[in-house]
Amino acid sequence: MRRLRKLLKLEMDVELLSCAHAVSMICFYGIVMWIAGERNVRILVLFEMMALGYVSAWTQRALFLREQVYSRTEYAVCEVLWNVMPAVFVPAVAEVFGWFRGTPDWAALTFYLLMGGYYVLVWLFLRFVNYEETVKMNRQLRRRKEKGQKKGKEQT
Amino acid sequence: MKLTAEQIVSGEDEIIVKYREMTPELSALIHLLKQGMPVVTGREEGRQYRIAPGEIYYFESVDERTFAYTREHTLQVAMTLAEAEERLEKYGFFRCNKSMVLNLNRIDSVKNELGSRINAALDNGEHVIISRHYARRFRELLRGGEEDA
Repeated sequence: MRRLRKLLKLEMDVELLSCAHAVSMICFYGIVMWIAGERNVRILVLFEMMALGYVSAWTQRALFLREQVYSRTEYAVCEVLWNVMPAVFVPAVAEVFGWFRGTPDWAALTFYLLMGGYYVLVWLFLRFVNYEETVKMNRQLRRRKEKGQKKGKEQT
Repeated sequence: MKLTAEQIVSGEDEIIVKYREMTPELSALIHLLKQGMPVVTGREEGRQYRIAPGEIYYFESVDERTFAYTREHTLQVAMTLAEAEERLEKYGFFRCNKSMVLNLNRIDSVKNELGSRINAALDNGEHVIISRHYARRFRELLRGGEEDA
């Protein structure tokens, strides 16, 4: 039961990220296709994008599943993979399922670049959030220790 | 009875009881001091050690055995992680991942990492991961310190 609850929490995390990925993909794809003169988008493409968003989110999550300390190099490699892997998945899946069949080459290229940029932006955003949280937690830790020392002095 | 408390810059905390004659009152006080100071017993290379919880950095479960790590020793202790967590919670011990119980007072600094993990740097230079699952409890512990301050 505990394991199931843990898995569900993890799944919720992944799905939140996967929704962000899918919505971004659909938006960028819609805009690029609209500029390229396409007025209709196949519903199957949207489902494929949702599935890709989910796979990408799980891949990113899986990189940091280990409950052990990562060396500086390992962490850096995982961060690079966090950005690169989904950015590689996008053109691969787009080519396999023909998302840009019958459209000019620039449309596909623009979409891939936009998605690559999007993953980097999400990573930068998460880095910023983590930095803010780190500062806050260290402040709280310091206060807790000061409080403990004060308490010790009062007892003597 | 004269009571003196002195702050020292370095060295180990120490209580010295000076008496001319051991009275029941003093005996009770010494007993209380000994009782009030919980001790963790563990074995290393056939020798038994008694250590104060404050000296322990963390407990780790390896192959269904529990070890307590201090600056100098790695002691095998006769309790489970759940027992260690329960018995020593008031001394700042908390579960940080599925195989470790960490002493919060031994954490020097923390860093939030991708995947909602927290990398805790201990004051002996070691690093320990507080997993996403236990990070929430850790944040609550920290918040408690801030609210009371």
